[in-house]
Amino acid sequence: MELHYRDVSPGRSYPQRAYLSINLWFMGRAIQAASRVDDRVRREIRGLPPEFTFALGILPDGPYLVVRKQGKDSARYIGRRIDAQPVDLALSFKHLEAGFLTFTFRENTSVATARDRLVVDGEVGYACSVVRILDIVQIYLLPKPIARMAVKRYPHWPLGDKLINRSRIYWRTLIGY
Amino acid sequence: MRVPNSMEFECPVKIHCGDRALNHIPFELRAIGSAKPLVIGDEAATRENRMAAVLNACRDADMTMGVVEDVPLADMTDSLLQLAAIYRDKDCDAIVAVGQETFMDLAKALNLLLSTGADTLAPLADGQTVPRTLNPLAVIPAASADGFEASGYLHFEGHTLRSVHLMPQLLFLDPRATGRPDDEAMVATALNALTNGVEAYFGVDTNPIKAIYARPATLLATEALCVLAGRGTRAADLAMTVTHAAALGGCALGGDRLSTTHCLAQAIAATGKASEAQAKGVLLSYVLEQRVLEGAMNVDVLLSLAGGNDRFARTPEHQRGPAAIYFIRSLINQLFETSDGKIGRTLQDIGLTRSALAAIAKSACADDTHENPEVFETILTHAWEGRPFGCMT
Repeated sequence: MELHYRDVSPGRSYPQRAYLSINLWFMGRAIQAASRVDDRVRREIRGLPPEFTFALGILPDGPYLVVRKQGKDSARYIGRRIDAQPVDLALSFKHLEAGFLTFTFRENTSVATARDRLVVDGEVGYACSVVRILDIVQIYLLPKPIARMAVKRYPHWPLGDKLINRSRIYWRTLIGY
Repeated sequence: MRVPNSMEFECPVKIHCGDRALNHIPFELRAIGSAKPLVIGDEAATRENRMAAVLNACRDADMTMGVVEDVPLADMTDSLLQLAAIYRDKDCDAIVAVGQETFMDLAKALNLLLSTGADTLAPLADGQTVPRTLNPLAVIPAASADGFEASGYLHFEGHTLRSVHLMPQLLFLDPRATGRPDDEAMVATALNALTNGVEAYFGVDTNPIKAIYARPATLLATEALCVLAGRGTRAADLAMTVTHAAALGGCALGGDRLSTTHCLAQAIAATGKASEAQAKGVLLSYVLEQRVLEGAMNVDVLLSLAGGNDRFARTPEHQRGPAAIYFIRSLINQLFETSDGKIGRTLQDIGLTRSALAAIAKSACADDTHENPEVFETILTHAWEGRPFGCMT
């Protein structure tokens, strides 16, 4: 019996890709905004080397968010292309589905790492700082019930500070400042 | 467990298990240098949508894959040569095999043939050594497994090759790829895994690292068998449990020589009266009992290995040995009842005649083992009659 061969190019999931692109773009700008608003984020960024650039995204070809340390303790969103500049740290989800699980807040970053869905290429200590920054930003951006699923531990911050900072981060994210 | 003076352990298999494990295929293949894998599957894989699940899981991978479905197993050599020609013509660089039992042997044989660059497997069957480095091979076994998928064993056209280098580099266990096995198939898989786990743990060449694989293989297999025998509540992921047990059992077995239970079961299966898994189920307790009689194993540990730590702790110290053997035997007896006699309790139940035992013992001794036919015949006689050795009462 003759065997039948065929080439299969498995295709692309456009809705998921679009969702992740928007999410990562918003998250990148939110990190930039949070670095100008929140002391915890500033403290984490202060611990990173000068001009430190990190990326978070999806293998094999993105989308990514790329953020660079600027000055002493602030960050700047560079863009969505990882290959446009060298990066010191890349946190990459092994496949689109893994990224989608995390960015639809069904699985937090720690669980994704434990389930071997996230690859860290760079210094682990800096990766932990970046994950903490992401957690803080998610706590600001998301309503509490959703943020509880997105982060490992939901912190007890003063409600006033949280609400004021949240609105400042949202405005800064939208206008890109 | 006694730590041996010198030991060696090698397991090149990277196991991905659980929800969305299949989605890791493209990443892992790229990591081992593959750009265009050849995905092959048997007829059952297409029928049960396992092949489709694998291809769907590779969406957004930006990787073109060659696919050959419905590979027939009636003429293994013909399928092997056709697949080898396709692999070479289409510039593929890795094999992803979606299937079970004999099909996995075909995938290993294909990988061996392509890695050696030979046209046939004849030189290897004649004693040529298996090369140290083979092409990448990823396997996605179903829940209906013979337990050798992850091992270093290759059974092909009457020949058996064994080498740790024949073990696949990647193994994916995903609920979408376990198929829809019936209870009989799952019992067979669990019995294979139980035998691999127990024999790896108590074999003469055991070591603490091998035990790390053997212990969960045995525990998962007995858990599944207990459920299939009607003890306890059936969980939704029973098929995954047996697949996991089979994979771990295969890793524990590796490329080491086969045990007494394996040799005897293969000789019985060769008569065509029963499957290898059924024979293993009957024989295992008798082989272990005979080993206890020779003072070659600590049977107390068997209770914690097969029955779990709770059962071990609540059994008085001097009763643990007999309780362990009784536990395995009562499990087989219950399976006999729940399967309406399809799983035999004795060799008589599975249709062997007493006069055939001597020939089976002799045939089993021809395999890679140091036992003598008299010992084998004694074990077979006890297993045929269903009569314990009585050394532990």
